[in-house]
Amino acid sequence: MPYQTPFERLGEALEAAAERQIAPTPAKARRRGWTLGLFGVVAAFGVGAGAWAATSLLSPGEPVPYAFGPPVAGVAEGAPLPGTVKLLTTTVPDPAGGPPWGMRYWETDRKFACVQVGRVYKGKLGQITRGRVFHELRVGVTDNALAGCYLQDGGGHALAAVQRDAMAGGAPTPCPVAIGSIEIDGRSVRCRAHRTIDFGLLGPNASRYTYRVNRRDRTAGALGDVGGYLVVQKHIKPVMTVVGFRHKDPRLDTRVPSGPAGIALTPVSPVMRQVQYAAGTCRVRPTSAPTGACARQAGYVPIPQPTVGDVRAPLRLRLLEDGRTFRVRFRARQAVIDGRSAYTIEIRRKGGRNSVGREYEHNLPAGGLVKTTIRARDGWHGTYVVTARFRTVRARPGPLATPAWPGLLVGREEITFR
Amino acid sequence: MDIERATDEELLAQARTTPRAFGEFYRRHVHAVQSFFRRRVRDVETAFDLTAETFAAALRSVPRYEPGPGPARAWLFGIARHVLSEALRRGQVQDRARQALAMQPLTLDARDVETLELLEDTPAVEAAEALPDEQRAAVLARHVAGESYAEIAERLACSESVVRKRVSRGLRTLRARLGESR
Repeated sequence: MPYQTPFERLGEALEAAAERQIAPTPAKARRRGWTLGLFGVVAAFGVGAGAWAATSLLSPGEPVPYAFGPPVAGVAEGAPLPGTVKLLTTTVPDPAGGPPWGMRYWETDRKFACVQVGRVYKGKLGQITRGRVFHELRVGVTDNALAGCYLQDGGGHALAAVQRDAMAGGAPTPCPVAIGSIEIDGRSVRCRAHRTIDFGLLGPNASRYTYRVNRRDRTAGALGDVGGYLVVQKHIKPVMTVVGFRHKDPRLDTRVPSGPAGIALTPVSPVMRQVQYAAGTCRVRPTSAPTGACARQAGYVPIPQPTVGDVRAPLRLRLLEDGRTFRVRFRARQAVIDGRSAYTIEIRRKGGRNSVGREYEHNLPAGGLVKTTIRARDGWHGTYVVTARFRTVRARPGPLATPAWPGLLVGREEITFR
Repeated sequence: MDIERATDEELLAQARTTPRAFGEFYRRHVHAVQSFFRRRVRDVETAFDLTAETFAAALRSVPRYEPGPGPARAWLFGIARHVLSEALRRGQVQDRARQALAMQPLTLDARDVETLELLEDTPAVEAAEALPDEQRAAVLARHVAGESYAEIAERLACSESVVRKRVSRGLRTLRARLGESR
């Protein structure tokens, strides 16, 4: 007997009831036990699919916006290098059908390798909203998207293993965790996720990987010569563990729930079972190490450490007329040529402990001028110490590969806010 | 009367003597009502339970229905709001209308829940409900259920080319309707 949807069954039941209602002797009502209460039942099944009807019905919408404008060469993550942009896959199926998922890769002039994940429609990568509007993901969009840029190692390859919650249309969830609700523009938005996406770059030494979906292990070949991988499934609850100490006095009980790292250098997610590298097979085990479970086999090439000479230079601060905005200028004695180093401006209340930093993520030659404008935050009053530092990444940084603290001191000056 | 072309008000008037007229009214609005509840309760099963009670209450009220200044859809959503407020006040979905109509409880299994989730918030599916029966069945089977043309043809007892034609015509109509609503 062909399957009838609940709507079809209800429609038939209503028509039958309508017939009985029209009949001269209506059926006598009888108490029945309804199984579903408003607050009583929690589904034991996966959460919502939010799928769409017909892929050919999608209409074009605005492209997913760049959060800070299109990528610029020599700044932040840099601009895509011609010839490096490629779609690693366009055929990963969605568990509820509809357009498949895909993954794009490119390298930048600042030694980053970037990936984007989204739904594929008419050969383009993008996101689907409201079930029928397709928003293209242009190369370089890494905010508002399942995407990221990862610093290349000493061999020019990037490693990254990411697990993210996502909406069915390919957009990341608005919440860091799919629990509870958050407020967006004064509106309470329920934190929910439809998909769990595992993606990343296993590196050139990886050939195959095994992942688990619906309690079944499957094996796939690593994508391209960069070892890409992409696993899409209905949202799964993160495996939570408890870290901290248990104590009968609640003030001393430090236990907190902890999930697997959302990003690591090599796989750590329980979805990824094993990876076949040239150096051997890595069985993925949960770990909180930022290098992940396969650091030994992945073959990360240490980043060469630059020889840094004296970076000290006079720091010039100028408070503008509003008394809250100030300019910082100094000569960079050490060049910045890629994302492996950066100048940082740090601001700290005089005598205070906490500080805020502003990265100056621009390429510039030795002798170039670093100049930036900073506005004091609300509540900043009195004397503050402004410190400039030159920082470089370590030889074996974590997946985010930010330059290491504290770096080398360039100069320090004081400024007073009204 | 051609039920498919009748207005909602005509359908409700006809439903006093023709069960199929209420069935058509139900098919036109069931997804909108389900979406209305889906935005207000936490799970798809509860939303479906509320939807069922709303249509049962609407059916019970059909003999008393008088077309007013507002559309019949507004009358239906008035019932939906009442069903929701009753459920929230009492902490559970009421089943009085379904009991009065002697309707059997519908139990949902995992596949049903998955189907309800699949169909939620899809304007295209909602628009597809207004297609002629043959086109609607073909479009939903092909693009929602993901059946192959051969499978659909076998089930509907017609040739593959007929199914392709129905899907193609249905999609063309849907595109036009969704384009209008944008």
